[in-house]
Amino acid sequence: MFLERLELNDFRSWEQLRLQFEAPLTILAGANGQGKTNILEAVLLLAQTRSPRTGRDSELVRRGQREAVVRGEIRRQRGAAGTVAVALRSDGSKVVKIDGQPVRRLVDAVGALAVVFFGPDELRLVSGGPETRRNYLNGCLGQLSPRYLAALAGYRGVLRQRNQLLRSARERPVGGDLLAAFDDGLAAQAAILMAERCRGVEQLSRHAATAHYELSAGAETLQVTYRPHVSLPAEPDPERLQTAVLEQLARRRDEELRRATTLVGPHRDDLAIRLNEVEARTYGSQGQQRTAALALKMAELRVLSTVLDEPAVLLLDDVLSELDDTRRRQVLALIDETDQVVVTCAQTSGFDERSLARSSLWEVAGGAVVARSSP
Amino acid sequence: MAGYPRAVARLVEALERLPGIGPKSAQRLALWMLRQPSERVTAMAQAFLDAVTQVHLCEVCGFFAETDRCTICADPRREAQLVCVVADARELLAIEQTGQFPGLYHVLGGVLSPLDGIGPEELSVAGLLDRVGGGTIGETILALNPTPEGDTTAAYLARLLKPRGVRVTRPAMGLPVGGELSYADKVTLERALAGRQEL
Repeated sequence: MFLERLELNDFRSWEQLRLQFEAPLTILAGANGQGKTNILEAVLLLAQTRSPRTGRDSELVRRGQREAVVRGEIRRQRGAAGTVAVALRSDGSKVVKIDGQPVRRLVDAVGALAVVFFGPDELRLVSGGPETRRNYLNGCLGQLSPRYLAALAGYRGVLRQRNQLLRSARERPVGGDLLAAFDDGLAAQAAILMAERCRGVEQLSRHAATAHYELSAGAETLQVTYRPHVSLPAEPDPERLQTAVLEQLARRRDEELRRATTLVGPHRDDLAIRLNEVEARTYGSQGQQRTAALALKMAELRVLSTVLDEPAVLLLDDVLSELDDTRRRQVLALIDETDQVVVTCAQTSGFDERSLARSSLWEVAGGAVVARSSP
Repeated sequence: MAGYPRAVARLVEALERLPGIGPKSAQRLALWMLRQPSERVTAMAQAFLDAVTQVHLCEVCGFFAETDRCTICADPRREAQLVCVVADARELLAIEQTGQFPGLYHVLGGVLSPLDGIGPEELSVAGLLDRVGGGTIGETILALNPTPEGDTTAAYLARLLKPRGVRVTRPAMGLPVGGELSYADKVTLERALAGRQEL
């Protein structure tokens, strides 16, 4: 799929921006603070209806304005071209339209545009904390399955309510039945999330192993497994998962009340990443960790492309300068696996001739994007 | 700078407090009222007063009533063994408009939401348990929204009601009647498939 046109109105630092994409590779070059990443963030917003860079949609509205609108026109290999538009108000409300029609549920907008985002945080996918890896899972599985996204939103909602309930228990006692009702709600959403993560990680793991084999020229094997916070039952179907979560919650009830927060559930999940049977986070070199991170992102791209039956758009945010020559070449080779790559960078020196020949080079400075060259 | 006379300004201010009414609409309504014959405006004012002085909540179910009991609770033809639990009066009216529900209601006054400071004490949960304790109720239908808050509230009530020997049910969830399958959103469609029924 190919994002042909992107329009930003009062989004982040941009008052008004109109971009027409043509080349397989678009390079957005410019100094820091010129709003390059905001452009990629707008594309992510179209794909996922929310930005992973903020918990509050209102932060995306340009200061002093009431509404931000991002609109994209997408060309597909199969099926008709389409448009996605997201309007965010400063009061936090949001409207998403697909082909001009407002969607009733945000999850219905997912899949119209699929993207894989690779930025500095993703480079730390292996070395960083568990949250980095959960964000990776949510970003990938959320674009694959509306069920996952609905369960994730539901889970977060119940989690917030349950944590508040546990906090309020410090002032006045909370009845056992009341807490148990929130346990039920939490376990129901948790079970769906965990079942989907089981399935999703299996797919990602296969692709990550292949990708890593390619990247390391067969020198290393990468093994990615789901490490759920609540241990999985032998048959991880939603019903048994729900029972497993409820049992754990019951076991840690006193501790939860003491610490006034939810200690059990998929909000504490992780991925185990092993290189040649050894934990990569602890024992891998920085180079090995980055190659494994790259393999995970390649796996995301390939899983999305397989399931959607056409390649997702790849967004590279300021990562090329962080990579050595070999890995930079490997990342740029992904252009061949997709229809479109959009890159932000401070300098354009890192690109090989072959990539440059297929690229549009745009300069981002002083609140404008100016075309410097095109293929 | 001259403005509205004080009485008009006060009227505009009062109207602005109504939900959904902004400053512009408030002015438009106020100017309209000033142009009406005084009997009409007096009748309206009386209607406001009557509503707030004569209407209170039914002592049994929590719906609006003009006497101790609402018209539904006072109706001897309603089946007292069947009680439909709803979050607020709007949902009661939606069900009532089907004309098909023979039982009584119980209005909770909201759903559980610790983030908004709403626990069981803020809802009429104790009232519901008292009614069930009376022994005439055989079934409670928990007609709460299929949102996380609604689901949790239903789970909570089910935990309290079941040990009291009363049947606890929830309305079926799935495809809208008369709607097209291809237009149903993905999550609804999935829930509908999970809850499929034998023909």
